[in-house]
Amino acid sequence: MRRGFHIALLLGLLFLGCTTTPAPKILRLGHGLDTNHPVHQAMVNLGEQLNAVSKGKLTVKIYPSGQLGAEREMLELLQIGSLDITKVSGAVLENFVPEYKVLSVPYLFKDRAHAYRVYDSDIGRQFLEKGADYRLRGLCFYDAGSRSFYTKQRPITTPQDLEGLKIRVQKSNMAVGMVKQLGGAPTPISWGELYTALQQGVVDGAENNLPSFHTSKHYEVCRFYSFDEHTAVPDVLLVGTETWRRLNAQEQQWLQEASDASTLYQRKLWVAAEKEALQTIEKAGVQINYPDKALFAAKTQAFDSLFDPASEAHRLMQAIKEIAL
Amino acid sequence: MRKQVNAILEKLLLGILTVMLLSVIWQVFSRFVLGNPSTVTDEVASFSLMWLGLYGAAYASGKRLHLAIDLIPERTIAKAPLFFHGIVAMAVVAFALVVMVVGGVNLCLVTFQLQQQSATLEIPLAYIYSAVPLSGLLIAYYSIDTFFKEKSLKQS
Repeated sequence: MRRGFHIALLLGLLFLGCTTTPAPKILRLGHGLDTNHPVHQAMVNLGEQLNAVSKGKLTVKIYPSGQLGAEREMLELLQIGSLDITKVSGAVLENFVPEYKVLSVPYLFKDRAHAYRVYDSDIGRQFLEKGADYRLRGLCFYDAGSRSFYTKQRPITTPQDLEGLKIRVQKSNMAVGMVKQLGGAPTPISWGELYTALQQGVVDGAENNLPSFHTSKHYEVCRFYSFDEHTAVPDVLLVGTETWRRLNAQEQQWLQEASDASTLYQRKLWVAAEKEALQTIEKAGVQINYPDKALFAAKTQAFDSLFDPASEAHRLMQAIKEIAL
Repeated sequence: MRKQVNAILEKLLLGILTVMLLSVIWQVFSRFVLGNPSTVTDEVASFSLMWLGLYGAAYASGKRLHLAIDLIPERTIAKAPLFFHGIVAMAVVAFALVVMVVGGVNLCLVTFQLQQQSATLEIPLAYIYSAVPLSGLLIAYYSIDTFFKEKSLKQS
């Protein structure tokens, strides 16, 4: 008798989990950044906003620090629908969506305000929607500052200073081509191996934005940071079209609005992060110099005629330039 | 048939290993001696390592050199060797066909359709990924062939 009661109780317990309210949809977001990074904090903010506006029906779970793979691998996961959202650098996207090459053109943006105007404009939207043909729908851009050279032995004041220096670049033909045109020797090395590569002299320098130079601690090895600001490739937040289609119109709107809001929030964080990075590396004794950007821009003129004049990429590049005027 | 497949696979593996070796040597040489590092060697080396691993696994399973873990005591297996070897062969074939061939073909189709390219060589990644379904086919072929050889040996 007692036994029968226990079994009945156990069976009853099994059904306790069943409720009639629909389970909240959880979107999995993977990215490769450290949790201190301003872009990570912006995505946390996105999750909070989404949770608030949907009253818990649509939430985001973040897997940071490359737990789910490198940026390229996460884009593939998005394409086959195994991952919902990811954040990658525009440079990695070039191999998936060729039009993104435009954003890696050196000295494309005149200044930060110009870049923001482009991201917020119709042209920015066209970039984001281009990805849908490749199952990667863009949600928003995150500012990734502008990239400059940092070196071990000598500061870069003119392009001639790059002569004979091995410079680490991202695995992207645009970055390789740019360093080649400036006179350096480009060497693709993965970001995680760069610290030791710099230390052991495999490469003489690298290029990145200030917060990355700071958080990666590369300033312990490289004593010179030269603000030539050659490129300003943004980060892009993307959702797989498979996931996008699974959401209803209301949920799509929530997600898009939360992304747009997080972009604005991220810009504030980014400026603060740049300031903090600059203070830290100056305190650490890194020599900072401001070379004449025109010298560098003159050397990279060839990028203007990189794209076929009839191509979509060329049209987008011209449109970006017109926004600056 | 099996001899020919072995011979082709051996030559292919030799070729891949040679390419990998040369590209790594060239990478070190161009980086430290010429001071002008090659940008493609990194990708060539990593793709040839992938191919070496996959086709090498197929070759090893043909030579029965692959890793095996004893779950069932040998005395039990000795009672009905064909039955147990059959189960093992079936498990291997099922994995090779479902995961490597079906999954691999899917992967190739998606990457081909979406035109994903490698970063520096700019070749379609679908060609590189083709090694997954192809090596899956080879593994399936080898384990079926091995099983039937054993069966005819036992029966004769």
